[in-house]
Amino acid sequence: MAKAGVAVAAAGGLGALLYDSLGPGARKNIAAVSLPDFSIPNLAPKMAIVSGSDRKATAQKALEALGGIGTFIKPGDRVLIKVNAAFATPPILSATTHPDLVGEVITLCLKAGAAEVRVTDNPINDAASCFQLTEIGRAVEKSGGRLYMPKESYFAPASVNGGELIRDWPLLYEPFKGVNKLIGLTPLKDHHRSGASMTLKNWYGLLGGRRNIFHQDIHNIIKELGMMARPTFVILDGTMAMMTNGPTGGAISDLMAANLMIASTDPVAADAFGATVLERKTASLPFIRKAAEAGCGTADYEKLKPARFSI
Amino acid sequence: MNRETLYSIIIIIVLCVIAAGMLIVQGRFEPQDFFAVEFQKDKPGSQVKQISPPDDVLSAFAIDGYKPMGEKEEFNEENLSDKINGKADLYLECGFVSMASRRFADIGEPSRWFEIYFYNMGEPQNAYAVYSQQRRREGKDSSVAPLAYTVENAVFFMNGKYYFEIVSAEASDEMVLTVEQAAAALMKSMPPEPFAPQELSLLPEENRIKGSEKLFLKNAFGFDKFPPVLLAQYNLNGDEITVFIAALEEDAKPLMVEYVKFMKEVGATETADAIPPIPDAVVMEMSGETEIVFAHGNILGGIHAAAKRESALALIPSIYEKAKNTK
Repeated sequence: MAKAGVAVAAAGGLGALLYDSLGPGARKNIAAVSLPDFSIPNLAPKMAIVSGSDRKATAQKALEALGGIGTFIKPGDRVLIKVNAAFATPPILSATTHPDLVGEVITLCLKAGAAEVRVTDNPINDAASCFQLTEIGRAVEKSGGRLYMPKESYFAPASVNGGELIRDWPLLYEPFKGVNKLIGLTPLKDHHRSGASMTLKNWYGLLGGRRNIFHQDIHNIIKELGMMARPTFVILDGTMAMMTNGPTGGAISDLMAANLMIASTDPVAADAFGATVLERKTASLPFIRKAAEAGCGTADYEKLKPARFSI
Repeated sequence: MNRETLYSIIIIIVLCVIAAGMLIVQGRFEPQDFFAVEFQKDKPGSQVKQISPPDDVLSAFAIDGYKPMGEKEEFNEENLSDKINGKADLYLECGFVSMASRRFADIGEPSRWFEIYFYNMGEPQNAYAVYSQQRRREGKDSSVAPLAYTVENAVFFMNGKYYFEIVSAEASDEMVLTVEQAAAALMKSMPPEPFAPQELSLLPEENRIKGSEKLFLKNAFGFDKFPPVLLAQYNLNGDEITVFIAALEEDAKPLMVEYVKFMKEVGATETADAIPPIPDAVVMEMSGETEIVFAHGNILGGIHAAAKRESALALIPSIYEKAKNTK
């Protein structure tokens, strides 16, 4: 009996030694975060549509039409640019933000006195190759920006106020620390699941985790992305619009030289106009209506009286 | 050894086994298995290792003047979207099994590179579905592989259950030749297995736009009761018209009735048009577009969303006749 008692005591002691009263501790040191509103206070929504094939020139003109980069970027500002670097594909496929556009916007921000311009995205698969082969990495380096490649420690759990999908979900947060302006730079594309990939969908690249599960509820996740990120302004690049086989494309013939650059403080309006370029009806892209109803902007882009130029 | 000692030893052994099991399981602990909060792993591709030959052809693949830019990447249905994002759904809906990809760069000019995407779709019909749904109409036929075509920067083709894309970073005649060479080299590693969907023989060739055929394995036009449906574009006096055809295993009439009901539920209204050569054809209108559906034996066919009703009515008899007369 005594030996049996010793055995039980030993087993109990081992159990007590292995017992973790806190349970798995992955969350215990990570504070939940949320993104502030990066839009310019008291600035009426604005939009500009510029025709032309030179991305640098059309981006410049579009921002000038919104009041100039100085309207948005003040000396000392710290700026984060969210690009689309989702694929390790070359710029000619227009599946990712074009490096010329990235370089130009960084340059304009720095000229306006920005203390720092950061660039980021979370491509999930092989981020280094994505930034290299899209040539975005080189554009950032050349124009004086700072690239934030995603890594595990950069993520923090985030929830969207009023959201149902983005709850305690990992957000690429480190690049946001200390930043007071947010810019989205997005190629205009067809998308197999959502119908179109434009400025609202661009924020998807800020999410980590097994985010592909959101594809089952694509229109609502895009709406919530719009609720999550309130940018200073966005630029939708329709210079070479991907009309079919998005979001990856793969063939030059998937593209159409729409030669349009759209800048807007209202991402919903920008996307509503982008839909027309893709020859989609707004009704076929429910995320636009949902985002508008959630207060992210207006689907009636003409209400913004967009400035139109051709260069 | 007395009985108490024996029991004690047995209890200790059992507890040790349990403890060892706990240590093994905890050693493999992944927070994402327990929480919505997950964290990125800085690792490319995945650990899919079950790909069998000839899927593994990319490991040793080589063409003159080019070298691999890195290791082959492999993806399964769990992580395909890591590589191709929202495009993954297209493949997953068509029976996707696995994908391998690898990049190769010009030894003398590294900015000239191409990437091979090698999809195992499980069945030739599945491969044809993803091939045809992405077929670029502007593509030029290429003889390097079954159903191969080139565009300014790439070659696309399928062979048996495999679908291939070889995409170059440069749009030039020279790079098109290079990706065709790569395609030819790939084809040397496997026997040619041409494929054509059985529904193709049901469609007349006259007025059909070459390369416009698309196979939808399910949910064509949002109707979830459809079996595989082949679509093709026809050009009738400048009007482009979408024709669809499906071969069922049973009488097609009940499905036609269901489809008409579905169309009416989503807003279509039946018109009074009669099509003399086709008994029981139903003509509907929705949002100014014309929909026609007919059944003949086990064949279901029709016209979808035609902009001009007169063109649709003019074309449909030839579709019906071909379906009716094909054995």
